[in-house]
Amino acid sequence: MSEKSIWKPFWSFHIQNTEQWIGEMEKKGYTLTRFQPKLSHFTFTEEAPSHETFAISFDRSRQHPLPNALKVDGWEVVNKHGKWAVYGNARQKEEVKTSIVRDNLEARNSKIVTFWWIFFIYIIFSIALQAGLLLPVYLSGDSFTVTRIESPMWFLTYIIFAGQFVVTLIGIYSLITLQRESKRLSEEDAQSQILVHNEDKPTTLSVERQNKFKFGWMYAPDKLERWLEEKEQLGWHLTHIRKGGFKFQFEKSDTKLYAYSVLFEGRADRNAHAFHGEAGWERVYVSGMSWQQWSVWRQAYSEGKEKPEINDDPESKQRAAMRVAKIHTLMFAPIIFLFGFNFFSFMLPDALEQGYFSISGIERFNTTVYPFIMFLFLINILRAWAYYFRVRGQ
Amino acid sequence: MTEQTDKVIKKYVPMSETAFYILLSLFKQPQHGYGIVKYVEVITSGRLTLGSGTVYGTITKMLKDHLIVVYANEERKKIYEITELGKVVIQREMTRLEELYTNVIAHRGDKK
Repeated sequence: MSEKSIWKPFWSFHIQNTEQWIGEMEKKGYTLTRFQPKLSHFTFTEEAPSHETFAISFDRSRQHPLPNALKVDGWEVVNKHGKWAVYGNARQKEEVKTSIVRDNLEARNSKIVTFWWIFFIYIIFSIALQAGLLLPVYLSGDSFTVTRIESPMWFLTYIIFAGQFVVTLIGIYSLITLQRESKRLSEEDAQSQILVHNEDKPTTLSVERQNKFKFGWMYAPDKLERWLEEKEQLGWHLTHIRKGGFKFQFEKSDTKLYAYSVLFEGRADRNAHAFHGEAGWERVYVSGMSWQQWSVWRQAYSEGKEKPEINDDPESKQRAAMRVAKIHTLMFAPIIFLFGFNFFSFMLPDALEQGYFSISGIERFNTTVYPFIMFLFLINILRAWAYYFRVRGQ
Repeated sequence: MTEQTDKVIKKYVPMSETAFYILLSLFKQPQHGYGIVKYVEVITSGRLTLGSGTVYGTITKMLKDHLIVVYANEERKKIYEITELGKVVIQREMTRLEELYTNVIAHRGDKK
């Protein structure tokens, strides 16, 4: 019996390829007997093949359950190791009807993407900071000399530099590969996505149109819902929300009752959206980012009937509102803190000491603008919390 | 009964009407998300139309607690299936509701 051990780095970034590859190895007479996901190590043993089709699942809870329907369809758990498991099926791929769901894997991949983004933002920030410190020296025109002191410790610098370089390459590779992987995974179950897209009707000149701008509705989504519903009752039908979510286009039409719902999700969830679509909701707007995604939904209903709601129990309503309040606090509080620190420990004492009109123009500008910006962000946080308490008080 | 099962039972019994009806529809047969909404509408004679956000949120919670599992069918539609643990939990809840029901009948009878 011969054994074959194969190292396959980044196998989890190409999950379909890896599954296919295990199947091909099986065809060649090698059965997967050991699987070390963290080390990217696959060990095969030469023995009679027992499975034709493979699926790799990721489960944070390490349970790797096997639903009855999958069992009936011939699936079994071949090999599991921590959060990863290989499922095998003795039948040909075409004959297998059911498949595993990859939501957990997609969630994991998007977490990795977020990690790398934060990493690169940090790198760019620290490079900018260093440049900010050194550039004035360089540009000042004063002559200076850089002396390189010989030391055996220099090799450490080189090693760290090389390490940094490799990490950066891995980061870039991960971001690009996961971007493609996410597309592949979404194409995989594209068939099940029945999302109603809002298509713009051809412009007819006879129809009266109206554009309205609305800013900052993210801090009070319930008010936006009410505003759009009132518009419909006045006979202004929403046709389009422009990219960015500020410009709302309406056209004059018959009054109809519409229920609007604004959703905020920390991470774009295709499945949830497909589900709402199935339940009769029409998505009229979705923001471009794949995290911190806003979407606006509507559904027509007839008079005398109860107004439909996407979240119709107090618990999920509160949970949704809490998410909105929390994200804005997390986003703006550090900014307020940084600005406040600068303002109260440097600018304000300076201005008070020297007198507002004796400080330079740029200082005067900063001293005026800083409190204004701080105030603006603070208002946004307070509005988001006011929204949360409105929902809770219902 | 394991400690884990006890913990889940404590968390879910008694449960909200929404959670009960979702688990009840899956107790009968595996279904997809919208199938649950439709089924509940039918068995409550149209009284209860569950909001899709509420159903989705509850399902996500139940998946995490292993009351249900998910797989994709031939059309790659997501189908939810109740687990053994889920069955234990819904049976407990049904026993509780049976007691409730018997007491309702008994006390209503007294008043007549």
